[in-house]
Amino acid sequence: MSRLAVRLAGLELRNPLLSASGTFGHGLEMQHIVPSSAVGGLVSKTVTRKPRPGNPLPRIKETEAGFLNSIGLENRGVDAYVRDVLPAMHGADTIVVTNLGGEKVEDFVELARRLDGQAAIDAFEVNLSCPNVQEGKLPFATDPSMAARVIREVRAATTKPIFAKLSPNVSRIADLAIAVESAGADGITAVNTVLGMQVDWRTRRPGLFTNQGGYSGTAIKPIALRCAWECARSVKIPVIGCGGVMCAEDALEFLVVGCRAVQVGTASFGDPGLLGRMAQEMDALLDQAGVASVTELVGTLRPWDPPPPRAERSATASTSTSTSTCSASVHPAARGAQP
Amino acid sequence: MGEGTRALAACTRGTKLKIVGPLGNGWPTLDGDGAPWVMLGGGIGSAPFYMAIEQALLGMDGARAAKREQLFYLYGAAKRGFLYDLEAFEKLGVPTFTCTMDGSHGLKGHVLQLLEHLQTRGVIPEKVRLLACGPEKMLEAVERHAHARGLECWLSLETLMGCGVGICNGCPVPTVPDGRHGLWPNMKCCVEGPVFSTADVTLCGMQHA
Ligand SMILES: Cc1cc2nc3c(=O)[nH]c(=O)nc-3n(C[C@H](O)[C@H](O)[C@H](O)COP(=O)(O)O)c2cc1C
Ligand code: FES
Repeated sequence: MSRLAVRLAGLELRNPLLSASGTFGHGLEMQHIVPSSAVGGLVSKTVTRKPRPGNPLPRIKETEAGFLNSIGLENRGVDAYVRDVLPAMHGADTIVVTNLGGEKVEDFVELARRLDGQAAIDAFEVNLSCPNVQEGKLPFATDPSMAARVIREVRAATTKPIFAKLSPNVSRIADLAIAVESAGADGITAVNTVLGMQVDWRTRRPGLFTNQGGYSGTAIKPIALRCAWECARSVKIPVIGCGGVMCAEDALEFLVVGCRAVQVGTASFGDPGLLGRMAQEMDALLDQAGVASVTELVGTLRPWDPPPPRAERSATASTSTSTSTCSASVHPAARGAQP
Repeated sequence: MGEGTRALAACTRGTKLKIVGPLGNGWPTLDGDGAPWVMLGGGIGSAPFYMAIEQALLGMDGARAAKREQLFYLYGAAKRGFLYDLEAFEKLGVPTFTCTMDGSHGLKGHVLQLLEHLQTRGVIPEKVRLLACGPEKMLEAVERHAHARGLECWLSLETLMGCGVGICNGCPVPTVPDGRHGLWPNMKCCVEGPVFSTADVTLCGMQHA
């Protein structure tokens, strides 16, 4: 299935589909359902310097159209990751991306330094954007200079490719994308979860212990797509789309807006085997559409042609425009309307 | 009633459902070698006991089969109409006792009162192994009871679950520091449970609406 192969920051991926951090264990827990050879890459749960027990219950909540979580980066810390998880990751027949989390710049740097020599790891994803720590203040994801500082210092600590994972909870994500690119990121993951909240008016209880949490799944696809598109057109480094990808069609949409690869998160919860079947589904879709290679699709968004000037909006002038069907399809009322 | 139940209830005959399972662990091996097993079911918490009894009588996981008199099924509910499939349990032939909060069937009271009632009358010995499934309040009481009496006890728990297969970390159950899994504050209800020994976990710290 070489038609699905993509290159990402010097890495060869057999297909553009990766697991999203925190939604697939460290990757191999699911080996009996999704063999690693079926995916382009496995992204680990966020690893932090110290063990983190995570937030109190309830830490997940299903809502009308998406999923809320406030796991709070539960993980056993980098020592346990190196001791208990990485040895098995050598056997993973795919690209292994380790997601790094921290509360201070030094945390990220220390992790990158600590893991730089680990051969099982192909790349790092720097989680600048977890909404479930530091009370959702997102210090690294909302301030371009802070984001750049983290990436610059991680860059100096490792030779492995680094992807900066951005948050959609900003007004101009392009500023962040440009900042991490100039700081030396090899790629961008767009995006992490959208801040959200749920409440039961009868019990007056928020759905999550932390009141607010991260919103993901179907509902956030348009938000994620917009963010990924904005990043892709603002930087030269590759963008990995993430958010609301539930099927192969969704993944292809992210490629069209400019992503080189795509991560699947919440969708695995409802259908743990999905990631294992998606590449085949994508292949079939490309076949049907007569697309020879998935890379052909990347960044091929066709913006709408601007409407012709008013002067040309008459039936007689129709042959002079390249979009010759245009004037004929203009509604008569619109054609006759006076300024 | 939760979303899942609502969705199931909305299904009509012929609806195709996709099932991911079986998931998680089950009861410990209900052998015929040690103290009798007392099963405490509360309301729909009776569901996992029918097959457990069947298996224990046949010899579970290659262990010695339990005799009928080594198994006790104590079934409690709010009222008579909520004692689901009671006749099916009675047909299994193990000693079965009921209680209801309104006294409309069996003893008036909850399952621990029923247990005490039967123990003071010598129907059930003091030294038993407890298994319980039911509402959280009931399980909390069973946990306290087991600790107070020094009894071995397993609880079949429930939490909200995001994935059911161990990949989301959404289903933590608090561990006790001196238990077998005490090195980490949580276990995953979906893959490491839903049945836990009260020597390993505690319901203290799990919140309900
Ligand atoms: C339960 C859960 C846990 C997550 N944990 C992490 C995490 O540890 N690190 C991280 O960078 N992103 C984490 N995420 C965010 C996802 O990786 C992804 O960015 C987000 O869910 C959007 O994608 P989706 O709509 O496909 O789920 C988590 C998401 C969920 C739902
Ligand atoms: S429900 Fe997802 S880890 Fe248990």
